[in-house]
Amino acid sequence: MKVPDGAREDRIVLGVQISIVICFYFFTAGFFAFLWHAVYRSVADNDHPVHAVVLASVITIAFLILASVMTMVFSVIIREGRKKFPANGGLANETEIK
Amino acid sequence: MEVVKPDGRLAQGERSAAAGDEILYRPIMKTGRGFYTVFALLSLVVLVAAYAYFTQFRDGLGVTGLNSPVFWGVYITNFVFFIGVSHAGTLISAILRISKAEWRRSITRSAEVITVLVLFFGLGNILIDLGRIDRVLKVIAHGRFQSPLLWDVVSITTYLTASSVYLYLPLIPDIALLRDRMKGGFRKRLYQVLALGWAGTEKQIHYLEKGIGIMAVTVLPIAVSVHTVVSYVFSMTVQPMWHSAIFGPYFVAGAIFSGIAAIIVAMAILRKVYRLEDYFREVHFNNLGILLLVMTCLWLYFTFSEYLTVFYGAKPDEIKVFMEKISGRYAPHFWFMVVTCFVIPFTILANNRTRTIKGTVIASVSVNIGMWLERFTIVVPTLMHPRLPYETGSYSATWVEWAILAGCFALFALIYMIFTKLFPIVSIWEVQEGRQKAQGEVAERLKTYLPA
Repeated sequence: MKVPDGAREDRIVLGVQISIVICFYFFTAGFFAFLWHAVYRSVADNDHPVHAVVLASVITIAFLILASVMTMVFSVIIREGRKKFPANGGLANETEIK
Repeated sequence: MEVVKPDGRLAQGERSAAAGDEILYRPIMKTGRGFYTVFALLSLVVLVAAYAYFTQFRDGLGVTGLNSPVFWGVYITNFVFFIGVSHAGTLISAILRISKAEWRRSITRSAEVITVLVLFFGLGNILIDLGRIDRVLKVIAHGRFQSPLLWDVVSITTYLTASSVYLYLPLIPDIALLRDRMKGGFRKRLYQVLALGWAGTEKQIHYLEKGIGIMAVTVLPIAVSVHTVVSYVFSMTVQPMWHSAIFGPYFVAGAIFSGIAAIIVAMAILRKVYRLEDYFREVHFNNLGILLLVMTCLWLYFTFSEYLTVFYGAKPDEIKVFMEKISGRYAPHFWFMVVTCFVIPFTILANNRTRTIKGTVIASVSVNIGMWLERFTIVVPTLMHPRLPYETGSYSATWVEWAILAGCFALFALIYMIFTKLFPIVSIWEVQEGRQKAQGEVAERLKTYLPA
């Protein structure tokens, strides 16, 4: 079945948008790996593990907040935009901002 | 006074004001000859810096003035300075947003961009200072949480990520406006992707504002922690005039100080170049000028406390560094710093008649020069007289370091310029939202805290 050009382009745009979020998750996951690898080594070497756990925990919480905000904003805006205008966004000012 | 209609539609006066916002799209839609000329000049400076870096990469750190015991110089000064300036955007924009200061609306974007960009330059200077850039892998593979250097890596990465998200979220509605204007081509597709399908529905607005609100609150402690941790790189050592308990707040105050100054300079340039007189008004410069005045006084207080304590204690190690700054080789740097960080800005900003746009800009340029010198006089004199029994060192930066410093500023200006060509430098939707809602909201707020 032949897919119309507009729909194909729409799918590509959506794909790139989802890729941005996935890249952010990868970055976050990589950063967690770096943090907790350092914690693991400090525990293994008995090199002040409590300091390491406390510091890594604080940063982990900060990154979890960032990831949650990104997920919330991306998922709601993309989903809502597609619901309203299937062709990936319509006019920018539907309600309040004229 | 313009009337806000209950259904949120624009009143006549607002409609004409919104039409006036066309000027905000102009830098994106049209590019004049001036842009290319400045672009070429800045690129030239960047190329010289790139050559300087290539020379350093090829021949090693021996081409710089760094030596033993003065192993930190211009690069680390740049690092501390840029990280300080990064407090311009996120911290100030977040504070103004949380405190619902309505005058923030047209200035937050230009400040947030500064934050994200200069953080890259801060990190970049660390990489340059390493000499062999591959050494950064050792931090990743063998980093220890006992080292304040790792705290820096971790906190700056968090700050950079948070600032980028905080810059991006308020950009979404403006990107959607651009998406709707573009006829086609690469830029249309870029805006289509980045606008995330923004259509300005109530639900989208609600969640976007929620996200921005969470980010504004989150970014504040992160920003404060970043400069505190930068100060710990010095104060956690037992070097003379570094091992100080007030270094954390002293650095944070200095960062906000240089950050405000950077915003003022950026605003003045944008105002002039893009004719944004309606958006960057006298009142913005006046308000930021007052903030700068407060920070000038706070800076003097911290500096005085720090130096008086060292002088009164008169410990042999510390007094050597102290005298080096007050009357030694770095006395010109120190006293020039006092003049540029306090005498000039205080004289200009404390007086209503001189706290004009021009006056505020002169004070801000002066503060930025002074704050760079402050970082320099913190880093170098201490290393010349380390606590351990080394010979007294000396340091004189070479052309490589100066070229890289110039290149950093040029590249920053270049990327900032490119940003203004891709995205509106004034938050259009926030300005329009302000016209629609702010007066009503402020009136409501007044009712809550004024006696009936």
